[in-house]
Formats: sequence, structure tokens, C-alpha cells
Amino acid sequence: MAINEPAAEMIPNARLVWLDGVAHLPQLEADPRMLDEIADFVDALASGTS
Amino acid sequence: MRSYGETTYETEEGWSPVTDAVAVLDAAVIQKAVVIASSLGGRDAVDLTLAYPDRVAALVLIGTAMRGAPYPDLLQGPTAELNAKIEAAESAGDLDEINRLEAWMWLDGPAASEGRVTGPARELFLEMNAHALRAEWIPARRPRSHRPGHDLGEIAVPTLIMVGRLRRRGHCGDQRTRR
Repeated sequence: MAINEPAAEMIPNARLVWLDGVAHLPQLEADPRMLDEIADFVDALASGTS
Repeated sequence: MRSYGETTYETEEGWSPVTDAVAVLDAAVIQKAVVIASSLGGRDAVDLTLAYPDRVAALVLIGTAMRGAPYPDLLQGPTAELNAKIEAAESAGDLDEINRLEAWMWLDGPAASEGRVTGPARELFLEMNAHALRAEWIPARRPRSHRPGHDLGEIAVPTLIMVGRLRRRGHCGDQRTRR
């Protein structure tokens, strides 16, 4: 069991996303899925839909 | 965080990563921010959110350490095997070998082949990690959370948690680690 799975269940308004093909530092690999997820997350916050 | 990037680690009475983060927000005149944090920084971001909920609009946690979540067993498998090699290198005081092995652990992923990640990303990791390894950073003296043993259920802001599938299993800031 990974530590982030129960954490995502314990935080009331959390969403867990698994990133394929990267390890612990997806930001160093400029993982496009990670960047898209952050952009969508921030857009949803700005539009009040999060 | 102190000792990361080009910063230095200096012991200071009353210092904590959380008070540092608040100082940065204050200096930038930012009342509330979307906080994006990775690894050990994620633990500090969680601590910041719980200690100063009026300063955090939302959280993005990438492969984060997390106090307050159950910690898995790591007694076997590729993570444990690589950890043993890192510990041996630490015992020998071989910082270059530690750096090489930690690039495998954290950048490639312990179950992946060493060198999976190449080019500028690997060069950047090795440069930053070498800096951190040579910093006089003593984990045991790192300030604890403002609220040790906190309940993650108290986090009220929208939170996005992302985890690489090739990651080291069971990353946790309470274990020995520099990330």
C-alpha cells in the first residue's frame, strides 16, 4: 500500500492521480500529464467548480 | 526549503519550514496561495495548511511525504534493496555513490533500470542532490510539525495528489530521507 492512497481518502476534498511512466520527481521530467492536471486544477479553482 | 537549491541550512531558534513559508508569503504580499509541493516539501505544505488555513487556497501534492497517513512496510523488494545500498554508501561516507544511487531511487524509480531518465533532468538532479548531500543538514534536528500527529481530515481546501507509478513505495518524511 502506498502512503498517498490512504491520505487521499483522509483528506475530504482530495483527488488522487496516478502518473504513468514517471517516478518520484515528475516535475524534473516535465511530465505533460502532471502539467495538464495542475492547469486543470487551477482552472477549476478559478472558475469555482473545484 | 533551507539547504535545497542554492540555499544554506542554518540552525535558528524557532525556525521551521512552516514559518519560512509564511515569511515568503508575507514578503511577496500574498495573503493566500495555491501551494504546489513535492516530496518532503509536501509534508511542509500540509503542515502549513493545517497551521495557517487562511494562507492556503488549495494544495497540489506531488509524490509527497505525509505525516498522519499510515506507513507501509518496506522490508523487501527493490526499494528495500536500493535502500540497503544507499545505507552502505552512507556508512562508507561515499557521497558520489549516494548521489548515484539516490538518482536511481528518486529519479528513475527503484523498480526501473538505472539511467531510465537521461539528459538535462538527470544532470539537474545530480547537481541539486549533490548540493543537498554536502549541506550540513541533520535530519534529526529538522523542526517537527507545528501539530505532530495531525489529522489529515482537517484539511479543508481542494487538494490534488499526484504520484508517479514508478516511485519509491511508501515515501514518508518521518523515515530517513533527504528528499
